[in-house]
Amino acid sequence: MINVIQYLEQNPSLVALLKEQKASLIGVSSVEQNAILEAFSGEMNVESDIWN
Amino acid sequence: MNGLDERINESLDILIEDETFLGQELKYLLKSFKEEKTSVGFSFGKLCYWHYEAFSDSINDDIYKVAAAVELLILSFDIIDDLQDKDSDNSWSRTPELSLNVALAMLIMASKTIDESSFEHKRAAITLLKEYALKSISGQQLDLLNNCRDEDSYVQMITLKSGSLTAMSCLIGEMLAKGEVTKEIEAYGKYIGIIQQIKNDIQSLKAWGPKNDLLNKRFSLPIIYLLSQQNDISKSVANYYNDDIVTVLDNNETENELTNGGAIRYAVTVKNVYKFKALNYLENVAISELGKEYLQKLIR
Repeated sequence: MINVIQYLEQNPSLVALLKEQKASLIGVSSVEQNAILEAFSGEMNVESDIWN
Repeated sequence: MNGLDERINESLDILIEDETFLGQELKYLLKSFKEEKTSVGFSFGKLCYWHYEAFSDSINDDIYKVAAAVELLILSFDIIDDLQDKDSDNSWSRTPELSLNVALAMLIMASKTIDESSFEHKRAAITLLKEYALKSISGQQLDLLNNCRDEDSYVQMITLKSGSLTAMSCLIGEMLAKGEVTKEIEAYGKYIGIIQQIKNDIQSLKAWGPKNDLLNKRFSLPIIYLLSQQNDISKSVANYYNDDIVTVLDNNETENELTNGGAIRYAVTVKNVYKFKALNYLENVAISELGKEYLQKLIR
């Protein structure tokens, strides 16, 4: 998972494609993909509130 | 405090007051340590209660005592953990020798309370308590050794340390109600502990105080991510962890790297994986709406 997040952090355009379902992450389960997308979406703000 | 918390709190008071083998000095400390936990609420006892209520035709009032017993075991582990971490937030840290004795009494009282309850399946429940408590102690040992420095070993450690205790709380309730336990409840029970631990890990990095995992050279998912990066900040942090050189950590830069470099997002992602898995399992478990609502809050 660490490599996937690092890669997506460096390639934010891919996150947009994933959200639009125009790209897929090979070797990542659907649960993992949902978890990633949620972390890269507004849901992250919930944690950011804790963080800030 | 809501109704269920109040019932568990009352049961704790009765258990402590009625324990004939404890002297007044011990009882006094037990009560005062319990009081410190009261404001936080009795999450583990409530997990036990909701899983009993879900599968039982009627409510045997002894369940509140069992929920209180679960809380005693959790409080004893909290006290021991704080003494090991030299955490000074709670009053038990001021008298470590006496507090250790209180923790011992709480541990024994936990299984004794279940043993003295009127449930048909109390023996099986005590077996669960012993098994999962030992698993948690094994996880605690790994945590103290601070050797879990990658995702797999770290998640394995928190599954043992924290997941065992949340799973135990759910399963004791289920066992008392129906004399058997299910893999689904064991699974999401464990995941609740993993989720809460990851949240705590993120929280620990919030302030640059004595409980900050990074300053204490502890490993957690955001720190594992940060250390895997190849940039100046991660190199400074690695040097600090390795004691190679006298290092000055720029708090603002480090905090910025954790927040915006992906470390927190990585930890949140791993947490989300367990959230989705837990919600999938929970969907297929016949638990009351109130119970489900409570579980969903812990999972999200």
